[in-house]
Amino acid sequence: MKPNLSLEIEGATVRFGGVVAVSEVSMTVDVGEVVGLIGPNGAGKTSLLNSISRLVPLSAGSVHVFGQNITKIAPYMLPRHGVARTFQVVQPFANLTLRENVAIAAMFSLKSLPKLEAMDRADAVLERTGLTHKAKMLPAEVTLADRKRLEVSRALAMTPKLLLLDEVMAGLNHTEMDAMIHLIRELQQEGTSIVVVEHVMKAIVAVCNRIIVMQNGKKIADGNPKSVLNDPTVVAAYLGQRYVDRQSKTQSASVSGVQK
Amino acid sequence: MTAYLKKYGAPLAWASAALIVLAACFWLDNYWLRVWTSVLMFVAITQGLNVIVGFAGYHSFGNAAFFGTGAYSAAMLVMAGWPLWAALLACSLVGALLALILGPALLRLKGHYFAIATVALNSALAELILNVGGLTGGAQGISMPMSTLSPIDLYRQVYLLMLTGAAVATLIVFWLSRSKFGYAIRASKDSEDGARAMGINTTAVRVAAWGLSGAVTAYVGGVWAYWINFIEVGSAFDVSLSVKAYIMLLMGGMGSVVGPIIGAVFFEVLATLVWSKFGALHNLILGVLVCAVVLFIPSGIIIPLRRFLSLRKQEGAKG
Ligand SMILES: Nc1ncnc2c1ncn2[C@@H]1O[C@H](COP(=O)(O)OP(=O)(O)OP(=O)(O)O)[C@@H](O)[C@H]1O
Ligand SMILES: [Mg+2]
Repeated sequence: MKPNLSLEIEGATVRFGGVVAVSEVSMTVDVGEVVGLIGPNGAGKTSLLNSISRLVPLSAGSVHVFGQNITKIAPYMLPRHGVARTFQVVQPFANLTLRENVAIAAMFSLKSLPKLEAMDRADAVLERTGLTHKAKMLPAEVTLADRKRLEVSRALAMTPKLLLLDEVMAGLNHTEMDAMIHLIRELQQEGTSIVVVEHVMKAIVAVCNRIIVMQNGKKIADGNPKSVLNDPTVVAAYLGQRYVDRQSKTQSASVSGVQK
Repeated sequence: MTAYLKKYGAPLAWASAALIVLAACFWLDNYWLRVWTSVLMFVAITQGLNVIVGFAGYHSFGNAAFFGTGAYSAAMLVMAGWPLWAALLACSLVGALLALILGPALLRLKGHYFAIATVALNSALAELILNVGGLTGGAQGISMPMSTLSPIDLYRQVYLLMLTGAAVATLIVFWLSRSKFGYAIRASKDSEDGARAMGINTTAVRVAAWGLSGAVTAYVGGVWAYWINFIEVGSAFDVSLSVKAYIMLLMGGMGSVVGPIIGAVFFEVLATLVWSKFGALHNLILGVLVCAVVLFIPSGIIIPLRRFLSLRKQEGAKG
């Protein structure tokens, strides 16, 4: 594998009984690159992320991160390889405060941090994601948008080198979304490699260096945003003609596109 | 003054409570000494259960398996000539080992499957001891040699041994409520996938929690064997023991440090009073009471109690 790759997937296949959720997908992410992963509902995007983070097994194929084969390692070892993720269906620790939630991510990831240092790290991260004033609340006491931000905060607390984001924009209003886009750009400037799974095209276009499109478990396109978004197969499979028409009318890349 | 109280109030309260409980064995009469010994026994068992149920979220209905294992290990070691303290230490280790060996397989099971498996484990161990015979005494049980201590001194010794168990178990729970290990357990309980993605080895953490639970419960079983002097399978591996502790945990409040103590004291003292006053009706009355508590304060006595105390504090501050 090339030394400047943060992620390299070869022939990944994920099966749930008879359902083939991911079918022989190969893809790479360069170090420092932000790659968008899009496609219709049920295309297999989340399943692919789950197989990278080892929460579902691959029935075929391999995954390397930063040159290391992680195809067979235990899921809790991923943070030690610099990989952090968020969950599309948020997974907060319901009986712990937001601050504790984030501190736990800091405590057990990259290098094991003492409790007090982890709390300090949590405070710094919450400041960055705008949750400081809610640090003492329980996940059930904040809005869904805040719980999404909590997912991102926990991932950031792990100081990842490769960050996998699964629909963190869903449910955010325009201001919140702009803040999230800003945050992703900042992370990229700091050298973090990022995979962004998203239905909000405005966000995808705003942050991605490259876009990969999935449909029915297969990769159907992979390339720079402009060419992928104008690719007839992609338009037919996912974006729809309306998206293309609107794009040419407004001449702007920042129109929010396909929503679920 | 209030700042001073805020800082040292809780430790002071705990220390004075510990002193009173410690001194109690010198002024309680024989009857109440036995009642409170049994209360302390249940405090320890309930805290042991709190570790695996309240913190790890695994409903171990068959924790009596550890109690019985502890009782039998301690009794057999004492019969083999070991000093009491060594036998008690060893039987706690046996309890921990049992959990550590079986945990990886059993803790893979979720929800009621795990609960049923622990009950099956309890029956299997009882069956095993019955059929192995030999040193275990089989169906005859084990009669331990009479203590050379006078009855009251013996009761005091057992009281203090149970108190040690209850104190250590409570300290373990206190440690879980604020340590990194405790956070790992609680995170694994709330979201397994989330915890794993954050670097927590959820299986290992759970097995370790069950090990702690097993060690505490086995210790209590060992002291109990020494206390009653004669053990047999039926009373050592008695699932109703786990069920009773489970009720105490439910009444007191799962996952809290003080709750299980309140639950155990409340239930055991009440059970004794009801039993001495109403005899035959005692199970019925307790049953109704348990239903009432579970229906009206499902999260345990500790929640309304905390609210009541904080209200009092606010009123105090006003006045
Ligand atoms: N745990 C599971 N068990 C069985 N089938 C599953 C499981 N998880 C996903 N699937 C199936 O795998 C396919 C891919 O689902 P996946 O969640 O990966 O899609 P997605 O691209 O993330 O969709 P969305 O945009 O709606 O999040 C779907 O057909 C889904 O029903
Ligand atoms: Mg998905």
